[in-house]
Amino acid sequence: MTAPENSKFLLDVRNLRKYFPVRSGFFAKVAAHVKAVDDVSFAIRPGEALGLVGESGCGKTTIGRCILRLIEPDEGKLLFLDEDLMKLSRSQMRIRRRDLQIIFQDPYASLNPRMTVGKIIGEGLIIHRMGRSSELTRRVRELLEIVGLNPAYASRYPHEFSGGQRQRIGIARALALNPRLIVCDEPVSALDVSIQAQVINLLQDLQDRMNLTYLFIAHDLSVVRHFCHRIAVMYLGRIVELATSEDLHSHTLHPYTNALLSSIPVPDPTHQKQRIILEGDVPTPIHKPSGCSFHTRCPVGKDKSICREVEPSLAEEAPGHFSACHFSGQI
Amino acid sequence: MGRIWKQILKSKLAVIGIVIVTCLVLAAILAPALAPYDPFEIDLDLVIQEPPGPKPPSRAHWFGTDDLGRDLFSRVMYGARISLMVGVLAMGIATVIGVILGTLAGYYGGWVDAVITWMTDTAFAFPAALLAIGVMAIVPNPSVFWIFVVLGLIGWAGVARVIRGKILSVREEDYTEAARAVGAGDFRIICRYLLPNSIAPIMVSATIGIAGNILTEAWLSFLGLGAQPPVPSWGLMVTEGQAYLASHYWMCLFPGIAIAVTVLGWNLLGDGLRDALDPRLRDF
Repeated sequence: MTAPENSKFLLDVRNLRKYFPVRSGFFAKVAAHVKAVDDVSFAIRPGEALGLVGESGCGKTTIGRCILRLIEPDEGKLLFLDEDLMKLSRSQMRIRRRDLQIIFQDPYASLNPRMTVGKIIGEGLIIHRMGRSSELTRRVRELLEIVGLNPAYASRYPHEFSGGQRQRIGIARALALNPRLIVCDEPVSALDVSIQAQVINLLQDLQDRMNLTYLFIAHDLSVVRHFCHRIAVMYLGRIVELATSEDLHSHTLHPYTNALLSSIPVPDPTHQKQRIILEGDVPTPIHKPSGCSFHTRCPVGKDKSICREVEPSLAEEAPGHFSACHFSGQI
Repeated sequence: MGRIWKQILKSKLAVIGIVIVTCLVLAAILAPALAPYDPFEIDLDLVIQEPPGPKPPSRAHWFGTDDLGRDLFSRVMYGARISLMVGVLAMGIATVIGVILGTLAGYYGGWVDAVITWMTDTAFAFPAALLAIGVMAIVPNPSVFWIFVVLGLIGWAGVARVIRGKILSVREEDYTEAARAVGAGDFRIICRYLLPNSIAPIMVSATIGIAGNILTEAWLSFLGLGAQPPVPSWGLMVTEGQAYLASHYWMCLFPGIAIAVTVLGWNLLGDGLRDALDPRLRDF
């Protein structure tokens, strides 16, 4: 898949930072910080699907919520069509939310059990006064059809639906306001494998039809490799590699990306696997390792003093291919 | 709602609770039609009849009569009105105050939460009996109305605490986040997302609170701090029977049974509701 050639960015995230305070003791003093998102920059072009991949706890979900300001970032810029979302007041931001929507991971938790499907989908339309009652009903039915559900479902309650159907309802809710950017926060990882493909295909189909832009968050590369134009790999609150989907697979530069790629199962029994098994657990984002935060588990830089001492910056190693490693490409 | 009913009806104890509460409500509503006598009518003929004093239960007076010849069955029946009114209305007042304060504390957090939590803790720490006696002593003529006020002042703290906890958890749900993502304001989120999903603990705490209120009304009236004669309040009737306890047990016995059974009924209903509304105990 080729990325649309348009240099103007829809969303330009610059130096985003979010630390969560860890409180302890009698007076709830701030004892430490969870560095969930630590100086992250990336940009998304209109019509593009950018994948954001990393293990649990690496900060990818926090980034998604920060972009919508569902979590207030501590620092950084969120340039949406050259307007800094961080500078908007609460009420200005509420209006801007039309353009930025989110699809949640857990389809069972993301629908209000006390509202009918029609009300859930129409909620945004009512809030932004986008249509009167008859128009609203028509639009809700239309949205249900777009996501492949029976329009008659509008009067039912969420508990009557399966996981895949609920996720479609969540997608319809996100589409209702005609957003420019949709943050997909692991939208298929809670679904059965057979349903995952359907939902992915639906998202892809919608992107083509409605010229949507996605920030697609996932915890493994297999889901995003075919879906996304570009992929950003995260480790402990930082982006370690960012490249087009093809480059990331054919010219992997960062040892962590390499390990992630090797963990994807290949449906070929004769394929000789060379799995890179990372040792140990992900270090805690409260006390990150010195230097390159990956050095404790890195097959390349484990014993190298530069990796222990100097934090590598995200550098453009090839056109459009960024990597944060002292030994980029030597894997 | 159908599912909840089915769950409640599965528990025998809850069904007993429903039956008791239903009988109580019917007795209260239909008292003027069903009561065989006027609860206020003093029958002097009966009083002077040999032996003098309260008359034991008989075919004419099922629960007997009191020292003034009034029919106890009719009085107990009318007593259900006072009891129910105090229980439900006072709980209504406490619930409204508690839900508003608990929601504000849970939703806004920060200093709003700190102030409301402090108020709640203070209300809990204050001895309820002392507050009741204090209020009743200050007001010019203690009556049933003031019982509402006292019970409301005592009762809201418990409700507020329960609601605050529930709001704290519902606030973090994905669907609440989704509502914020589509641009819903605070008021909309509270009314359409937080409160509807917190209704279960509100209903449970209100039901059990009604039982508590009925009991409190009874002892306040027993102490002479609540309903005043000749109002047929169960607590007051027990007081009136106290002098005759050794020789004419029925004056205390029947209002006492009424109090016990009513409180039991509301508690059983509350427990049944709790079990039915708790998703962890629900089998699909």
